[in-house]
Order: sequence, then C-alpha cells, then structure tokens
Amino acid sequence: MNLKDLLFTRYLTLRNLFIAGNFVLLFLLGAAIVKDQNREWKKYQRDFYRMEKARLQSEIDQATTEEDRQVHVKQLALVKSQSVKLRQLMAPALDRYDRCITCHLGYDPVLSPTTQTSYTNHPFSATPHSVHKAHPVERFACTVCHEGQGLATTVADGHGRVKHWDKPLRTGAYIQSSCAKCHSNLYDEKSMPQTAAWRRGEAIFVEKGCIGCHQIRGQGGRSPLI
Amino acid sequence: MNIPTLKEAKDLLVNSQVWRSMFRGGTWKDTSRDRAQHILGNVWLHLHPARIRQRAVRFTYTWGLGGLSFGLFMILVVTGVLLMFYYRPAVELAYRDMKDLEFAVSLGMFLRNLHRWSAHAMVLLVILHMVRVFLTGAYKTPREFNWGVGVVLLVLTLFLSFTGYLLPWDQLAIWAVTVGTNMASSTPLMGAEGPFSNLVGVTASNDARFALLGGTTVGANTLLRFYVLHCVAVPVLAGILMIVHFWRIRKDGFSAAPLPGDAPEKKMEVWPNLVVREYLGAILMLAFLIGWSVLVNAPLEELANSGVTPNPSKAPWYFLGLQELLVYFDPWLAGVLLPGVITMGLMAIPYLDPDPKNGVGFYSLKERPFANSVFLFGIVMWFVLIVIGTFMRGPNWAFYWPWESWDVHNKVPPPRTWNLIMVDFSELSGHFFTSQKVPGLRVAGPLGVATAFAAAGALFGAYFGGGLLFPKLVKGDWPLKKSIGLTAMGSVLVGVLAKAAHAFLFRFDFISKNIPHFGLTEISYLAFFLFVVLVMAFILPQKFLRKSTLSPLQYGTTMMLLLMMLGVVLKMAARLGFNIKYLFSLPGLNLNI
Repeated sequence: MNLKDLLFTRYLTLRNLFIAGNFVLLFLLGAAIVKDQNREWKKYQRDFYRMEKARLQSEIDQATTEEDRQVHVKQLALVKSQSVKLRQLMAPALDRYDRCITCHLGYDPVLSPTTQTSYTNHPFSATPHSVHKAHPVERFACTVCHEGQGLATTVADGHGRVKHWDKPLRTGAYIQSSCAKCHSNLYDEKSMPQTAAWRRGEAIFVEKGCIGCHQIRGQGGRSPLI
Repeated sequence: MNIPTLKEAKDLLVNSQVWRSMFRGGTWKDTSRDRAQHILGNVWLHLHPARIRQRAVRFTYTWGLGGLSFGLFMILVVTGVLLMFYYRPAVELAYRDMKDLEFAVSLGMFLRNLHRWSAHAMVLLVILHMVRVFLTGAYKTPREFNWGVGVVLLVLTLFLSFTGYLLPWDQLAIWAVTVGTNMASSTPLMGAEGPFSNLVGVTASNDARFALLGGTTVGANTLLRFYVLHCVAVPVLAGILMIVHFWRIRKDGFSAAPLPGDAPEKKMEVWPNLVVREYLGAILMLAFLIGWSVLVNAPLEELANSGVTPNPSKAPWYFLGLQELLVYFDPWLAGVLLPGVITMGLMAIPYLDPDPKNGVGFYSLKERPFANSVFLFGIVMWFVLIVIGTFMRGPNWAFYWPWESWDVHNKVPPPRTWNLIMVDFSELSGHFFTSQKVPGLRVAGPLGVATAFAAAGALFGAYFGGGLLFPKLVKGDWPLKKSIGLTAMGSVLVGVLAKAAHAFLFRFDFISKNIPHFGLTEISYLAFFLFVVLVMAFILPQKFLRKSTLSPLQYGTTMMLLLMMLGVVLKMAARLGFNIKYLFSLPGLNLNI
C-alpha cells in the first residue's frame, strides 16, 4: 500500500474528516465567542472595581466618625453589587447615547454620585470642574461637548481616531470650540472666563481673513467648512 | 450494571421507540434497503435519489457549488433573521443600530461579518456554479428550463445582495446604491435620462428609478423599500424558485448523465455516501466563513450624507463590470441594454445548442470547443472588467495601477476624446447641446443628418451583416491552428498598414487632431483587438458553426449575441487605443453608441 492510498483510506477518510470538521467548527465558534467576550472595556471595569474596593475599605478602616464610616460602607456595598456591564448615558433631547462611562467609570452618576474621583490615571481620573457642574452628565452626556464616538466601546473608536469617524475627541483648548455650539456670549470675558483660547482663535480668524475662503455658519467662501 | 460500549449505546438509541418514530422504516438493520428507505422516508432528504452514479459524487465534478450556494443561502437566512432583531430600517436609526451591533450586542459584529461575507461568497459561488453547469453541458435537454430558472436565481442573488448593500446606511451604502439605481433612470422610454423618454412624458419623478427609490434620490423611502425587498419579497421569490430548481434537478435527472455508449455505471447509495459529503462541504465552508468573520470586520463608513459624494463612488463589486462599461457606453446601453441582453442570452443558451447529446456529464472542453470558448470568453471578460473597476479606477474614474496612489494632483489628465460621427440637430430643432464641444465629424442640416444616419447604418450594418455572413462563405476546411496563426500575422500587418495610412493622412486636420500619435502602443492595440475579434467572430464560427445543424434562427441569434459581446471589446479598443468616445452620437435623443 503506497503512501497516498494509506493517507486516504486510513486517515483522511470521510468519517474522520466528518468528525474533525465538526470539531474545527466547534473550535471556531468558540473562538468567535471568546473574542466577543474579551472586549477591551471589561478590563477597565474590573480594574476600577478593584481600585474602588481597596480605596473604600481603607476609608472605612480610617473613618473617624460613624457617619463617615456608614457612607463608605454603603458605597462599598454599591460597588460590590456591580457586575461588569456596558454603561451608557442618555441625552435624548440632544440625540446623544454615550458609552464613554463604560471605561470612564468615575463619571458614572450611579456608581460615582459625585462624578469625581481622586485617581489620576486614565481612564479613571474624574476631576472636579465648574463646567461639568454646570452641565451635569445626566442631562448632557459626553460627546455633545467632547465629540468622539459615543456609541463605541473601544479606545480607538471611542475617541474617534479611526478612519471613518470625522469627529475625533476635542482635546486641550480645542474643547472650548464646543461651547460655541450653544453659547453666543463667548466674546464676553466676564460671563465666560473659561473660553480665553476660543477668543484668541476668533481674533486670529478675523484678523487673517480666513472667512474669505472658508465658511463658518453659512458665511464666507466656498472652501471646506469650519 | 454493564456500561454499554459506544456501539451498543448507539444501537440502543437508534432502535428505541422514540428514534424509530422520528425516522420511518422500522428497526435499522443497515441494509441497502434501510439506507434507501432513509432517503425516501425523510422529507428533507428525499430531494435526493436513493442511489446515484459514482461519477456524480466526485468532488471535482460539481465542486459542490450548487449545494454550497444553497448552504450559503441558509446561513444568510439564519444570520439575517438574527440581525433583524437589532436592525430598524429608518434613516435616524439604521446607522446607530450598526454601531450597536458592533459595540453593544453580543456577537453582533460577528453576525454582521458572517452575513456580509456569506453574501459575497454566495454571489461568487452562484456564478461559479453556472460556469460549472455550462462546462459539463448540464443545461442540455431536458434541463433547458432549469438552466433558465438558474439564471433568474443568479439575477435574484445579485439583487438580494444589492438591496442588502443599502441597509447599513453609511456612505458606502448610499453611494453604491445611487450608482446602481441611476442606471434605471437610463432605461429607454421608462427612465428619465434614457432615450425617447421625453417623447412619452417620463420625468425624474415618475420613471423606473423613482419606483425603485420611492423618490428622486436615495432617502428614507428607499431604505424602507430596500429593507422589505431584502428581507421579505426577494428571499421569498428566490425560495420559491429554489424549490422549482431542486425539484427539476430531481425530475430531469442529475447532470452526471449516462455517458453515451458506456456500460451501465456503478451506482452508490446516497445514504451515507452523498449525505456525508454534502455535510462535510457545508461545515468546511461554514468553518472558513466563521474564521474569516472572526478575523475580518465588514466595512462600515461614515453616516450616509447625501451632500458629500465620495470620489470615486463605486457600485458593489459584482456590478463594477457594468460600471466600468459606462466608460465605453451610454448608461442605457451599459446599465440596461447590455445586462438585459446578457441575461436573455444566458437563458437562450440551451435553445441555441445544436447537439443536445454532445458532451453532457463531463468537462467537455474538447467536445464543445466553440460553446466553451465563447462562454469562457464572456466570463473572463466579465471578471476582467470587475477587476479593472475594483482595483484600477480612482478619483474621477481615472485609471490607476494598484500600486499607484490616488493622488489627483499627480495624475496626467485623461486624453481628449472625440466622436466619429456627430449629428448636430441644433439647426433643425433650435436646441443647443453641451456635448457639441466634443470634436469629431460634425454633420448638420437635413442632408447632413440623412448622410450621418446612412453612414452609421452602413457601419453597424457592415459589422453585424458581415459578421453573420462571412463565416458561412468559407469554402473547404481550414486547419484551425494555421488559420489562427495567419490571423495573428494579418492583424499585425493591418496595424502596420494603419500606421502607414495614418502617416499619409496626417496632413488632414481631422486625423492629426484626433489621433495625434500612432506609435507602437496604437499598433499593438489595433493588432491585439483585431486578432481577438477575428478569431472569436470569424475563425471559430466558420470552423465550428458553418456545418453544424443550427437552424437559421439559432445561427443568427448565436452570432448576434457573439457579435454584441465582441462589439463591447471593439468599443473598448476604440476608446482605450484611440480615444473615440462615440462612433455615432445623437445627443438630442440621448442616443450615443
């Protein structure tokens, strides 16, 4: 019996291929499920729960008053009750459904009622800010100011730094441009002290005559809109 | 208590009352009769015969293409129904639902990938299935009708895929569908931009495209229409036709028909021999698609925006051959007439066959040289056009090699085109047409127009009339290889003579302006296309059709279809080699050829 016959009559028989094929199929289905279950954001949630539990435990241990202790015990129970799940903020009036808090858990108003954390590392830092106070996340969600892709739940997609998303995250001073979406008094230094960079940009825009070619709110030339 | 072995456990299960009540046939004794009964007594399996010729089971005969196409249809039904749970066909919601599938739904992206890739695979496999059926002569009597049903199923497969293309509601979707449906507006009489439509009062708001879109542009109505067509109407229609297709396979006999003159062939039992092969093919294909879907995501671009047109806008890949034809023909020809002729021509094939007994049931390349050459020529041409349209067309539909970057600023502008005969109606009708700027032989006035029509008639008459007549005029038997060789030499000679003629005629403005350069490239273009057309339209027909038993009607239809196909090739040569936009242009009636 030569090698070819041996191969096809003993090893690669239809029966063996049938059995092997079923296992290959099962394995690949498993791979699809494993890939689906191992989403990027789950790691961040587990990390946050772990950090919060440790922090709250030490707060409880160091609590000086019973009242203080009770607050932290309650908060710890809340954190412990949380499962790893998708979280989103809804602002239907603005047509925003933002899943940013799936990783940025410090801004989840349920898990972290003050929407502040003492962490400094990304994505858990949630620093107090007067603008946030005036625009609570429950009403405004995130992307109406910060842009990026609210429905996405991966780092690259969520921050909008992917090929087919034309509104990436507004970082640094650029975030001030979002204020102009609603506020018309940005020129006023007294009522809007936070938008100094916007005012400087506006001055440059007027001084350099950008509007000669570029359009802004229907005014100006025919070149790409700003 | 004894622990039963695996075989004992199986026997116990198979012979139990519960099992036996599900599968008819009494106690399973694994006899030949049992195995036949297993096929006959099962509603799903009884589409199979109980026994089948051994030759038909061989993988390299059918490649499992028909069965796999059906398998893909089933995958698409299952994934499609699951996707319907999450998808809402409204413009505000559709794209968001795509994002939800990707980011929030468990296995959502996987389902979408599997659906998308299976759809592409189905289009490809259905085409390959048709090629296989042709090459093995399996469309011949008594299977002519089933071949026709198959052609309709191919068209429905393309339409299913095309209607699904819109549903993600991203830039890719709406612009591909815009390109595809714009073809409908070029239908003669029924499309606003087609010839003669202005004579019957058809406008953009009551033409064929309007019916398809539910509006004049791709919008909310289109999405709903395409959704209903994609999820209900077309699958039901395709399902009904599939039932007919399978039923007729059974009734007409399988394509691995008895070989002529052979002794009775060995048959084998379908259970388990064929069933296990089918199952194996199905799971291997499914495994491949699942692996592919885990690794590669289906495309999703920005939210649809009717104000921003991507450049280039491309139809789905299987229509890019037609879109590429738009370079050479008016939309009503490239998008309506040619697809119509291709579909009707494919359905006519079984009725044009002179010998229903010749070359059935095996790859009959030698037995049917003419049929196979013409069919394969058409298929190769179709895929060449698709490859050009997919990989070599960039912004403004300019030609780019796959390794060139799509930089519009570095691109040499395309050469100026010209028309051979241009009928200028403006003097007669007082209308002014913008295409008057195109250079060419311009004719005007009643006498000029009449002359132009006569010249165009002579041109096309000579092509089709000559094509029909010349193969019949040959006397004697020309050796094939020698005549092909002589044709090649003759074609090169014509190219060189054309170069000499060009040099002689260069003093005339008409020639020097429109064909400023006639070098090696032009000679090769002329020689190559002339060679291809002469071999396909003359050498092969005179060899194989002249003495065949074709009736005059069959001969005429065959040759007309062949000449139209080669006409496309000639038109491509005229455009690519010599920048001729139209041979005959009558802009007043949108009639340009």
